[in-house]
Amino acid sequence: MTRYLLVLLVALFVPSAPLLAQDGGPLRIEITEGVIEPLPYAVPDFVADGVSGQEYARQIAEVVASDLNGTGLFRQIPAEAHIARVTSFSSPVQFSDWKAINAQALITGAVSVDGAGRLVVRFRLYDVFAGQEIGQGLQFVGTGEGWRRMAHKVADQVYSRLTGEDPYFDSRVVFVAETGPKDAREKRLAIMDYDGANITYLTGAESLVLAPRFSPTGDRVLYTSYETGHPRIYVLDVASAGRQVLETPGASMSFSPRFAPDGRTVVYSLTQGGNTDLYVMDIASGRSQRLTSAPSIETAPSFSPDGARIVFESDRSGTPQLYIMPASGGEATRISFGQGRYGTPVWSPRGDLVAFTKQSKGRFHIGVMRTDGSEERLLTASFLDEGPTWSPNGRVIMFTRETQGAQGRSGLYSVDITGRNLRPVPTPTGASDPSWSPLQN
Amino acid sequence: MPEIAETPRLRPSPRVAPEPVARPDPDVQVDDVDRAETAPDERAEEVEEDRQETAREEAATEIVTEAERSEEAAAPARSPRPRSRPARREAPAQTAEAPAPKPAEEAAPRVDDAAVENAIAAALGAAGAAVGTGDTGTPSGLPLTAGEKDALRVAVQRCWNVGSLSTNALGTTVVVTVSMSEDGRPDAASIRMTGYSGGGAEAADHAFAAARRAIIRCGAEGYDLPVAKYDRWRSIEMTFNPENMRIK
Repeated sequence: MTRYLLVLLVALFVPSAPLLAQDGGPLRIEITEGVIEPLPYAVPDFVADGVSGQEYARQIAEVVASDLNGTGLFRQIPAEAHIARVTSFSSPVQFSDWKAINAQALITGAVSVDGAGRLVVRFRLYDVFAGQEIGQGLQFVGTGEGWRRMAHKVADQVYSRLTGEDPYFDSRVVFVAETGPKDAREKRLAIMDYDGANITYLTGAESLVLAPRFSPTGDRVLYTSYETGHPRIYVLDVASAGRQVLETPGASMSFSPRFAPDGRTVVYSLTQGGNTDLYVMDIASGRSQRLTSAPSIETAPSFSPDGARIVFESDRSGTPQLYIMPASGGEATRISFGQGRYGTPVWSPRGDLVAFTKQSKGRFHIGVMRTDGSEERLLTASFLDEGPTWSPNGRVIMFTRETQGAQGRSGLYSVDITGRNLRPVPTPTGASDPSWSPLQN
Repeated sequence: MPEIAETPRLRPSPRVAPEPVARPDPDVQVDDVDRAETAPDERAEEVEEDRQETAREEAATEIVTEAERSEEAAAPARSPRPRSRPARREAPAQTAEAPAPKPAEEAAPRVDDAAVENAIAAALGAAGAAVGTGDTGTPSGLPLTAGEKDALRVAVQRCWNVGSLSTNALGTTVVVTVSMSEDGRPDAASIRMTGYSGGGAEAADHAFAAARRAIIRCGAEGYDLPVAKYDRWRSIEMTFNPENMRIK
């Protein structure tokens, strides 16, 4: 009996293993707050393989850095701070040297000219603190004249691998280049790289042009011209600068055109007998179909990426507001309900947001909202901001900002959809009405 | 102090009558001197006079009820975690029915001295292992305090930079495990993503890369963790939830 009692006492008073131990497994913590800062990175000059590559080695690294810095998401560590020197593209990276200057990403590259005189650009991207390469090294081959595009392509790869967003640097913007005072302003179509480089003028200054819009493949541009005295819509081939007019009834005014995602159909506004409604036209056949028939003004249509719906501006409620309707017409649903006037809606390439211009309390804003009208956010505010256009990846919006006064100037600006990183887009003259192309092939 | 908390006792309510009542008859007679009751004992050499038991009157400056009496605190200094529920034993597969064995004739229990001694040794041995160095594979010793865990969390989030993440990656929560060395540094090669939610695999990869950078960067000099509790943090699971970091 005594022995039984002893066993019982041991069991009761001596702590057993499971009682003292934790529940097993690792220590668990949850991180819910972080920081939002540009990611520090280093891009030493690309290594020139041979004398002929030297000309481009530094320039390509500079364009790559300019692209990344321009997003506001990255911070370049200047070359003066580098400890290590990259002298060979194939040499192993000394990560400790880059860690020491807190470079979290490292881009190395090499430039050479092959036997056929083509430029060859290679690059690698590293996660310095993980001590490993991100993705695989890539090389691009092109002509010497295309070195900027190759640099944009390198930057696109880096951006995409580091952020997870789709790329957008290798893209173009068509816009209205403006010169002269406000009361006698000359306007012509121009096209440039997204960063303002390589400007080409598509039309002369003899007639007023408005609202150019890229086709989904980037090879054509729709725009409105007053060369006949009243507005008409033209389709312009970017490569050849050849153009075609979209024929509409004689006494009508057509404007505010935009391509459907299939590239074969155009939606636009047509004013007839003092009433403005929306129409679609098949470009090849010239056959058109009326989408709205209200006594109010319906304009600024924009297709959803899947082509199933159209967002547009209408003053049917008394003030300009945003509405969405099926692409074939039918009942429209109002999506804007805030104070002020809403206009120029553009559907995001991702399909989740609509960008718009808002006028409220004497100020103009560029904003975004969900396609059901919820979560409206105003990204900018100024004397005059208008005409948003989306980057190909739906992350950045470019728009027109005009300064006040008789000497006021129009210029292009871009802003991240977070509302951060508002910055001017360099253009040699005044600029307005931008339209961002899709990513180039 | 008890090692293990006992079942709490109900707190007794004050027992003070709302209205004064007459004092009950005393059990003993009140006197200035305490006296034990005596009875005549014929065998005693000295015959003591027969007398009644007396006691001095109890006096107090205030009424102290049972409920107000202070007791020694019964809370344990520490209490062990509850044991996890043991795995349910699966019922054995049913086989061909065998005839039920006849109950054996009830016999008096026999004590096997050797077995009893073995049981005692086993119980003591298990207890010894529990307070050992964790060779059993489960963490042992005191767990990290909330403050110690908070310090680690704050240290990691200082380096968790989501500024360059895509909107999809910002919608993705990732669970990351990391092995730690005793000096508080994370083993970079051990960092693994063990799960994610809210986004696709590609978004999770980018969210994981940001989490990994955070763990390595801020742990480069070693996290401030108590060495004495290393067994508790040799492996850490961190959940990076960016919900508060999204665009509002």
